[in-house]
Amino acid sequence: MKQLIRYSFLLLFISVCLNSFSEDTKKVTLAGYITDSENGESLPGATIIIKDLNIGTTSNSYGFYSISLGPGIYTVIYSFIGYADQSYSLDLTSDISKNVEMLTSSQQLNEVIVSDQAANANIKSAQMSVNKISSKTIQGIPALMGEVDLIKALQLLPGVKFVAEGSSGLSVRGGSPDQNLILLDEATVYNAGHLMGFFSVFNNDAVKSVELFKGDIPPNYGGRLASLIDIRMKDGNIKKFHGNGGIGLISSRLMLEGPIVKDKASFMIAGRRSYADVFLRLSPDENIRENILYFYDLNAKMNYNINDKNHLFISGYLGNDVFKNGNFGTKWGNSTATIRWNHIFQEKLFSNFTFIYSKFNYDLGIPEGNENAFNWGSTLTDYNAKADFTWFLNSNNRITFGLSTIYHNFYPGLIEGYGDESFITRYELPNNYALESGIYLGNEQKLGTQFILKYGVRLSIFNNVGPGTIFNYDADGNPLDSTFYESGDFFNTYVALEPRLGIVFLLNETSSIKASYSKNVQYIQQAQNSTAGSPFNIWFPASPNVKPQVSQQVALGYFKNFSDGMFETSLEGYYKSISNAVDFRDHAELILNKYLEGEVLSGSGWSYGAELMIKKTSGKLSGWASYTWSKAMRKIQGINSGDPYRAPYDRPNDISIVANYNLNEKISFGFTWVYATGQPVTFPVGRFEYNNTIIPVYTDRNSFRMLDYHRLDLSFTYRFNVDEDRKWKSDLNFSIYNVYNRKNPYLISFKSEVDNTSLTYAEMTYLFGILPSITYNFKF
Amino acid sequence: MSRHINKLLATSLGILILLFGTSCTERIDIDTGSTYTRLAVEGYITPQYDKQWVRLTKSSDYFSNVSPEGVSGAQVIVDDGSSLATFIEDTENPGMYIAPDGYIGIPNTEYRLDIELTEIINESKRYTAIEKMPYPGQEVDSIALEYDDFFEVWLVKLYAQEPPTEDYYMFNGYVNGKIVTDSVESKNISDDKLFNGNYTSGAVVMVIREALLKEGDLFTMELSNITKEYADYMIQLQLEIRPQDPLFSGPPANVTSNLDYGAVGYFSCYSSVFASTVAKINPK
Repeated sequence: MKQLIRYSFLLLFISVCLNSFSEDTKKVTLAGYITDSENGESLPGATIIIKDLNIGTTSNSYGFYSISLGPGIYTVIYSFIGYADQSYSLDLTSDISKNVEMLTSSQQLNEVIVSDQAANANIKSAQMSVNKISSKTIQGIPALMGEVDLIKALQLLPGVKFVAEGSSGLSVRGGSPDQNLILLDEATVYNAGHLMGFFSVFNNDAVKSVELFKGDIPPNYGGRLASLIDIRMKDGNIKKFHGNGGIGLISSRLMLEGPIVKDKASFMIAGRRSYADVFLRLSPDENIRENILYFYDLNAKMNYNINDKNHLFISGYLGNDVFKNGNFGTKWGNSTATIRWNHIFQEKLFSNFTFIYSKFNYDLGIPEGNENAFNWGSTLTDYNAKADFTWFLNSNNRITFGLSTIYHNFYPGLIEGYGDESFITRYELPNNYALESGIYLGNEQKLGTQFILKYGVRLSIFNNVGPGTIFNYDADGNPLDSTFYESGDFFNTYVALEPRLGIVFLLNETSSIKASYSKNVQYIQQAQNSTAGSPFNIWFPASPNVKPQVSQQVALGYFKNFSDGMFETSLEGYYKSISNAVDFRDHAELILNKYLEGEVLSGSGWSYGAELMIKKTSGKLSGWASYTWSKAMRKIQGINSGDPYRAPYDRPNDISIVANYNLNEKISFGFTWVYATGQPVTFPVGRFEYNNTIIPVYTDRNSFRMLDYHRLDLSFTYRFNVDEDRKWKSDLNFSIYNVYNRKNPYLISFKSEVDNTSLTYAEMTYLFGILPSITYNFKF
Repeated sequence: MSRHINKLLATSLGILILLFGTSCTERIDIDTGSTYTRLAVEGYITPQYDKQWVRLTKSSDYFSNVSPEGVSGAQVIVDDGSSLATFIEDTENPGMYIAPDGYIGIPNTEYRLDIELTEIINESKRYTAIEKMPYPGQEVDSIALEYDDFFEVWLVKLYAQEPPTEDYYMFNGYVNGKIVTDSVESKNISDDKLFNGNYTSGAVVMVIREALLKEGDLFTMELSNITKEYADYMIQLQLEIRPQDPLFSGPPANVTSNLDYGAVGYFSCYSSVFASTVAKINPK
């Protein structure tokens, strides 16, 4: 492994040196931003081709591109999927800044043939194990109770499994839900679920796109083993004022966007609120009427194009879930804020400076006036500063480098009684603090016409910082004594080198073979041993007692496009191994436990699989079909007698078919069918009697499976006023979840007959039978 | 206590599912196979005259659906460090071994249970468990019953000074002298983490279903001081007999016994205090 790292550094060094020697001082640079002509949103991943030289580049995540050439007159073609190509003849005698506004294919009068270049971007990209979904695609997928949900759309991708029926948690290539780094405009979202996880916190109206990296994570990100889920909010329409919204069964939403100064500054604001409590108030029962139950979220963004060299983005998210009545109350939510400043030092060096604040907290309690009135609160706050640079060295090398540091503040729990009557004493879990930093360097290099390499390395450094109390434990996890560290004391440090390597071999214009290797290190994790988890599962850091988790993944894939890129197919295989995999002792107490680290067990994990995907990108019928075959195992001393056992998300066969059919401008249909092998579970094999109660006896962990899961969802959308030249446009969407009323087990319990406890039986609970819903959407 | 909060959360989840789901249950057939037989022990030593016994049974396959088979003919001896007591099998109740007449437990004494079987179960004939009986808790000042008409249950409220030591409690209820909490799930097990050293001032310690307790009945609460190990055992039992839901339940796992050689069950020693009151609707 060390050799691999050394080799990658050497490669990088050689390439950079060679390039600087061969650098023609007379070269000029063509650079600029690529945006959507209609709303000014930046277009990341657009292709720029110099036709005469048959070289090209792509725009970065802010829509910026840069390419260096010898002086001359060139034909430059700008292209992006779903947009019409634009071709310019440019006389490059000195550095040129060229911003391009792309027109969607439908805005063009004539039928436009999307160029091969744009269509085959997936073939040539050095990145593998990645899936990108636009908010428009997500909108077309039939949704549970009509709530369009980005996370549930991701669950339909190959290699991704849902963690429980209806849950917005996901498992990527066998990993746990806490092994996914979920970023909303670069800010970590620690809990992505509303209503105990049945809906995700992301309002699709506010989202531009989501990109999922399955293990092969670019070196500018780190800190999670399984995936990066990079969600970008809309920048806000910089051309004209626009709004959309909807009224559904669960919630209503409204998004407004528009220019503050046309072509200079824009805003976007989106809100959503559920209204179950409104229905509760209609109940004849006073005790039900007094229940308050809702969630809301708010996304806001401002984007200011100061000049060609400076661009400022400010965005934020605030969301909460509230559930309370006279006896009990709980509230949880995330808030994030991101300030980003894009600065172009010179046409070749793009930089982005980011400051991020992210908080997840919950409160739970029994209200004042009760003898056991208490409040229990827990908070995790991050302050993060980042600097990222992209150096467009020449048309063959794009170098990225930068650094990031996060200051984590863990306030895992404080419980306090309040009111005169309360007998609850103050109980506090010790707060702790940590610094998580990373420095990275990477290059994407074209070697000749057939090879593209990407190689990079991330150096991650994790420090536990005082003040903090660390307990020492015996082999059974019982606390022995504790050590207190003073404020500012860097009392424990972990350092890791994380190489991220990839290679593409272009077989021809429409097919390629890719391979990758990546190592990821995870320093903070969630104390969760249930499959779906709840918002009350706290995050806790690596420490002298808990080693960081490490994963290594190798992947190999074949990519082939057909019919001018209308069909994209891919077949990927991967093997991933995890060391220091965290799991918990049997019957671990993970909530409100001072000695949580005593419950942690550490071992190894491995998973492997093959993912096949066929995607149709354009035409009346679009969508994808995917099949995944996979295994995920763990081996941890103290669990299952130290023998290997199936990971909770090991579901070997998994099929998703997602289709959207636009019959005409007015009518479209959505179709989703999913199938997955039953979830692994532990069932009782034996039993004994204690205190007139049948007690189960288990043998091997996760050795049984629930019934296989499958489900069909359909939707039908009818659009009004499509032909008319009216600003107000609307549609009605009818969705049916679980059309053929499959009884998919949510849980299986083992019970005794009431009148004869010796008689036992198994009972399955299923959550959602056939479930229709209707949503009214509008835009103006 | 924190596990009670977990239970509270699980209940609130139930409300959510009720509101949003079309959640249904149905019985299903599952074959979970079979496993070897283990010795199951249920044993008690207390300072009360009527409750020192050890029951030995055999474990069976989960869906065997017959009453557990008693293990007869064993030698069951309890050693308190100074003397040995041989428990005698009840001739009418195979597997039930009862203490000699007049034998009672004494707090702060360590008891050792020795079992010798006539035949091998799970590769052993001899089994042992050791448990120390904790001191009884502080005296209870009083208890009160409050009727909750929404849930149709009686709330048992406790007035007592909780001592500053680390304590574990088990609550049982009796109606007119007859136990109504004679099953694992109906007992309340609690640590004192969240009210250590405080006056409980009417904290709800038990919930009794209306069907079990009528107005005018005499209700007696038994508050037992139990060991941490027995509290853990009982809490684990309660976790294992509850449905395993994906949000709050950890993976199912075998309950930790204080017996050796893979026997299941528990040999417990504890002392109790009692307090009584007569049930009256809205005595506030």
